[in-house]
Amino acid sequence: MIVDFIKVSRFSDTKLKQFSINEASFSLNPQQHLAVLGKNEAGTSDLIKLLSGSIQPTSGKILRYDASSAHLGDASTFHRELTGEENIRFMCKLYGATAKHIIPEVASLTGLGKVLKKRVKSYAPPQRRKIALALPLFLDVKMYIIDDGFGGIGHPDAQFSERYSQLLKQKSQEKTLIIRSNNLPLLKSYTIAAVIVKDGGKVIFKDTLEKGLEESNDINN
Amino acid sequence: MRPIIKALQVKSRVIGALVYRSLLSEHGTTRLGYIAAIFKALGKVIMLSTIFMLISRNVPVGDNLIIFLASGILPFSMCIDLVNKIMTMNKSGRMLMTHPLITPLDIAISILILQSAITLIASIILLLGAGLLGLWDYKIASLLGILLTSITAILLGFGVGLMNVSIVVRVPSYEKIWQLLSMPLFILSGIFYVSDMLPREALDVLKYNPLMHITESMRDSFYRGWNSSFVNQQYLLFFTTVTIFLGLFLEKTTQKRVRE
Repeated sequence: MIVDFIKVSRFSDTKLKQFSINEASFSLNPQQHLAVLGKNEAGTSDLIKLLSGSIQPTSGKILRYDASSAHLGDASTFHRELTGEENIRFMCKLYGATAKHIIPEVASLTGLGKVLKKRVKSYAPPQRRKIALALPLFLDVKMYIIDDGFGGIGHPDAQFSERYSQLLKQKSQEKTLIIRSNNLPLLKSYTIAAVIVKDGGKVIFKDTLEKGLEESNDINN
Repeated sequence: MRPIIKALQVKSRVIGALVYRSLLSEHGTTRLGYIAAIFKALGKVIMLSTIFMLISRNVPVGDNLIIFLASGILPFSMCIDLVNKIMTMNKSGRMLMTHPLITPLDIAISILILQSAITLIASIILLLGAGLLGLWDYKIASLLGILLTSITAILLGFGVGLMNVSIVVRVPSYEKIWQLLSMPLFILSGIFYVSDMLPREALDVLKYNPLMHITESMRDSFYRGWNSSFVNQQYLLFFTTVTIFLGLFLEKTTQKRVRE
């Protein structure tokens, strides 16, 4: 077990007492590849945040067993005035990884090389995104999170995308993977189980993606 | 025991990373920003000393104006700068707060470490410089006293900073109110005078200002030939302890709101 939800509830609006998550109980195993489904945007987004640990539940308990996580494609911690390399070094320090080994790896995957020595503010958005996607793959974390809120794992550079998904396939085998996306091919190629967040915050766990998709389509009908 | 050690390791790693990041980026856009920050602290002392020399004021304690002013300004700005930096950390560290590994308290601690280091380096440069120019004889009354006063100044700044940042979350206009409130502190904290020079009525008010106690206590520990009759360590420590606990408590209760 890596994360254990015990009757976890969370208000999306404290005053109106609206639940985004209502008494969710399920556990996440290591190396489980999980899809987060459902039209309830506040609910799915809060579920991801609760899983990664960036927010706390209003009631209930979340037990975490060394569940360090990284968002693929999240460039929000990048500082514009620092160079790409310095930003990578910061993330490495944050995750306790050695930047000396990781910078060349990121450079070779992204093909950015010398650009990494320039300040992030001079980057084109796809360049910044390449780093944000590539870097987490080399960090020593237990959980990868792919979120449409951060643009999934799409990238305009087709060659990079190809190399990237190959590496992700290989690296994610021994990690927990959580995907919140409406991109069906992506879900089908990675995820096995699914959780569905319904309106009102009810969370349902299904052990196959097909059952999950059925369940989530049921609400729409 | 093991989970605690693991947690401490992660915390120190995160705080180290934050210190590294702000060391490179915090002070302006230039690479040498932190050197600029050190000279900003020195600049305050030198500018005030020049003005006071020009209007030829006597030195209240000791025989050198620069040393006298530095012994007031450095602990004072250590505390106030820390308050102001921590108070605005929700804005400056907004992008970091949503990261699962980083909590607001980590950011506050990294600010504390960086500010203390900057003040420490500025103080050493200033004192060594004064020593080399023959303005100071390399002698102090009590190193322990100086250290304890510095630590108190840092903790006071940290506590008030945490208190303020939590209040700002609930009452955003408090930031402007604090700016107004803290303006007179520069004059009311004994930077360019000592308590001996003031009438009783003034001291009856100033005795409630913890910063006045800090500057007096700093000079009391620094100058061998001068003792302050004003310092009330009990009050200073009581005030600092209360603000630290209140600050940590308020930070804990508002932290959830900040991170969303």
